[in-house]
This record gives sequence, C-alpha cells and structure tokens, in this order.
Amino acid sequence: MGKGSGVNEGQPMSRPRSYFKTLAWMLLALVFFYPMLWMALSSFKSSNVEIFGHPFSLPHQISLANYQKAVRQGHLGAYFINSLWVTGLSAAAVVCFGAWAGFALSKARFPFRKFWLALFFIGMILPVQSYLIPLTGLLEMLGVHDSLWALILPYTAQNLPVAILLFTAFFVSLPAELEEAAKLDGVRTARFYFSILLPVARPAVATIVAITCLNTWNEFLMAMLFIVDPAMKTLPVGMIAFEQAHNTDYPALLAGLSLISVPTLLVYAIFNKQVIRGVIAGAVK
Amino acid sequence: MTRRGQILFFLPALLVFLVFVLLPSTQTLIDSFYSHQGIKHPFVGTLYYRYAVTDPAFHQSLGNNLKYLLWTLLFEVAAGLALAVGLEKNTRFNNFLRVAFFSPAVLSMVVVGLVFGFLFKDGVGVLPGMLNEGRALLTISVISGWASAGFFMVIFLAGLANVPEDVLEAARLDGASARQTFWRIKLPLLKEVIYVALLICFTGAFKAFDLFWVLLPNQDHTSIVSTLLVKEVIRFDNQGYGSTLAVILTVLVLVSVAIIIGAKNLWRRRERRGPL
Repeated sequence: MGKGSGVNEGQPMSRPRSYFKTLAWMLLALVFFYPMLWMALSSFKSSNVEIFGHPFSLPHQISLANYQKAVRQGHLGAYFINSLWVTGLSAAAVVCFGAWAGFALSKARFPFRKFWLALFFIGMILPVQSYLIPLTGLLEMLGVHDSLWALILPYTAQNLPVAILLFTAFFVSLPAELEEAAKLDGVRTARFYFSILLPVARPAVATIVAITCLNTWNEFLMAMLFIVDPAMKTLPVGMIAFEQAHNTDYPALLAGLSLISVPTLLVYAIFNKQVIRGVIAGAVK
Repeated sequence: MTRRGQILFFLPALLVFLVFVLLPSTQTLIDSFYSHQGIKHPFVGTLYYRYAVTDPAFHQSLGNNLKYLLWTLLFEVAAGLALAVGLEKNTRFNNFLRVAFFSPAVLSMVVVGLVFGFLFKDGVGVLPGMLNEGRALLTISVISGWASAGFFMVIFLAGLANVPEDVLEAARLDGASARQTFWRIKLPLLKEVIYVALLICFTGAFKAFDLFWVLLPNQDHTSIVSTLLVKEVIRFDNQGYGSTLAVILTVLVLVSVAIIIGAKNLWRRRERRGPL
C-alpha cells in the first residue's frame, strides 16, 4: 500500500522495534478501529439496554434480526439497489466520457487545449455548493427530477474533471509510436482507441472507477436536496430517513449503518491498491 | 485523428460538464443579485452581499469554518504526517496498521456522524456531553480527524516513497539522527505533497457539510457557511441569499487555492535564487 516496493527490503533493521512502541501503535490502531467495531458488534445486540448498558461487551448472541428489521422497516434493500444503480451508471459514464475527452485532449494540436485543461482544473476544485442551488430547477426543467437520473447526471459531471485530467496525463505519457504504428497498419482512430488504447489504460480506468464509486456511494448533500420521492432515495439519505423514523431503535439503526458500510469496506479490502492509487491520483493531479 | 474525430470524442464530457456544473455555477452568481421572494424576481444588486457583511449568523458560520480549518490542519494533516512518518517502513505490521488507519476514510460521513452521534448522545451515549455548546466544534474536528487522518497518511506515504534512498543512505553515513533526517531531509523533499495536502485541507474545510449536518442539524453554534446556505434555501426558501452565500463560499475556496499555489511558486522562485 502506498509505498513503492521494497525500499527497505534486504536491509536488516537497525534495531528491533521495542515492545513499548509496538504496543503503543496497537493501542492507537485499536482506538481508530474501535468506533467501527462498536458499530458492527452493537448491530447484533438485542436491545438499547444491551448496547448502552454494556457498551464494551460482546453481543450475547449473534442474530440477524436487526438486519431483517433494517431491510423491512427501513427499506434499506430498496435504497441499496438505488445506490447500486446510481453508483454504477455514474462510474460508467465518468470512465467513458472521461477517457474519450482525455484521448482527445492528449493530442497536442487539440483546439484551445490549455484552456480546456485549465477549465477542468477549476471544475475540480469548485465546491458543489457553487452549482447546487440552480440544479434543482434545472433538473425539473429537464424532466428528470425525483428520478435516479437527477443524481446520475450531476454525479457524472462532478467526477468528470478529475477523470479527464488523469486520462489526459495518462495518454500523454504513452509513447507516440503506439499510434504511429497503428496508423501504418491502417487502423482507424476509433478502432485504435477501443482495441489498443483502452486495454493499455486499464490502471487509469481502475483508479477512476475506485474514486468515483467511493464518492457517489457516499454522496449526501445532492441526494438529500434532489430526491423527494422516498422510493428513489439512495442509502445515505435513506439512512437519515430511517434514523428519523426509528430514532430510538439503536440495534436496527446500527445494523443499517453496518450494512451501508460493508460494500465500501469490502471494495477497499479487495481493491486496496486501486483505491489507494485513486486517492493519490485524485489528490495529486 | 481528424479534427472532427477529436471534437466528437471531446463533446460528451464537455456537454455534461457544461450543463451540470458551469451553467448552474453561472446561474448561482446571477441569482445572488436577484430577490427570489414572491412571484417577481427584482434585481437587488449587492443587497445580499451587504446583508451578509452584517449578518451575525454568517459571521458565526464563517468563524466556525476558520476554526474548523485550524483544527483539521492539526487533526488531519499533522496527524496524517505523523502516522506516515511512523509507519514509513514497509513491514507487514506497518501495512496492517496503515489499513486500520485508512479504513474510516471509505465510510460515508453520514455513517460517521450517526455512529458518533449515538456514542456521544446525552443520556444514553458512552461519552455524553461531547457535543455541548462549548465543545461541539472541537469534537466534530476530532471526528473529522479520525475519518480523514488516514487519507492524509496515504498521501504523505506516497511522498515519502519518493524520497531517494541514496540521500537517506548518505545521511545515515554522515551520522544524522532520525530527527535530523526528518526535519532536514524528508520534510523539504515532501514539499510537493505538503502543498497538495494543504490544498485539500483548506478547500475541504470550506466544502464540509455532511458531518455538521448529521451531527447537529439545528444548532447555531456549529453552523458553517455550507449548512447556513442549505438552511436558507430549504427552510426559508431564500434562494437569493443562499446563492450569495454559495458565491462567497466558492470565492473562499478559489482564493485559498490561489494563495497556496502562489505561495508554492514564490517559494520555488526563492529557492532557485539560492540562499540569501
């Protein structure tokens, strides 16, 4: 993770890490991990009394009753599917449009190239609040308000600038011979792009998918403002609605919160490298 | 590739960005000069801007943004740097710790807010009283640090990985202590990454919304500009003033980016000129 491979390998450690230091780090990691652990453990407990009366104990018995309740009463199943659609389609659109635009902008002779790159850089730092308020009216005008498109379209737009800048940098870094050779072989531009360039760009695609998915899965502000219909809510907003309706049923609420977090934690666990690379690329570009 | 082909490839991204980011951003700027109360929308000039200057709610919110910024510099950036330096060596133990410190960063801020809300809830919570008036902003900043320090750690680790090994080796041979190596060698070489981290921290402090909204939605003492503007729009239907606050927020973000990039360039030029 993070660091380049094997910087310190093959070198004996100057002195063994002292037990005290190891213990201190373990303790710190436990403090960091504890809120998540508390959330997961408490989601199996049977009542508020068990959660807050014995906050640090393990649950008496593991049952999925709270999870059933969260899905049935909190409609988290429906929200989950909405979130999947929104996240999946936004990520797909960001990768498609971003890679196409990056391909075009990687050509040195693209008209006003510098201007577009500067524009997307500003787009990347622009806070969501700067375009949030008129979007409600705009989405209504386009007739997509209160549908999942009311989120997919702004999410795509919001995540595009980073993708475009990253893909442009990636394609610029590729050797020019790649395209020249293809041209000599009589490969047309579109085919060159789809059958040669895109497979090469797989690392950049994975990176963009990772950050876009994380951003959109967790997005709250626009989802709260643009979606009124309860059937169209995504998980973060649905979870708030669930909390407001059942604000004292802590076991079920914590089950819901665990349920939302499992996908991102799982994706992070599996695609660790891509997520980290995505974080760094999104940050540094 | 033909000119037409290039433009065809470029068009979809430009269109989506134009319609859903640039156009509404411009609209926000225009709206901030009009009143939206009633059916007619008369032009009011800089009325809302002048109102903001005297609005105590805005003052308090902006003050909270700035305090939050200072705290997150400590709890996110400095803490992330400390974690990165401590876990720099690529050992299995360190790798395990890095995962533990980064994992909160993939959680939704709604989850973070609700879980800590339960933990700190008066009456039932494990640690009640943490969200009292005098303490709430600090508590939110600490929670923010908990959620984001790992993110900054990852950025700094990437920077540390780029510190050339032969430079460190030379320092070791010259008998430099760990502290000297950090302050004299690693930190100056981390400059690029530090600028990036500052950029993210500064803009993040103004963009923040979720945690504040979820933890204390109705409290004035933890109001920040972004929550104030959402309240103006959805509670009071005051689109004009909301837009004005949005413009101010955007300007604050852009100005802080300009300042950091400017400082970076200034520093670089001074360095090129050499000492003295």
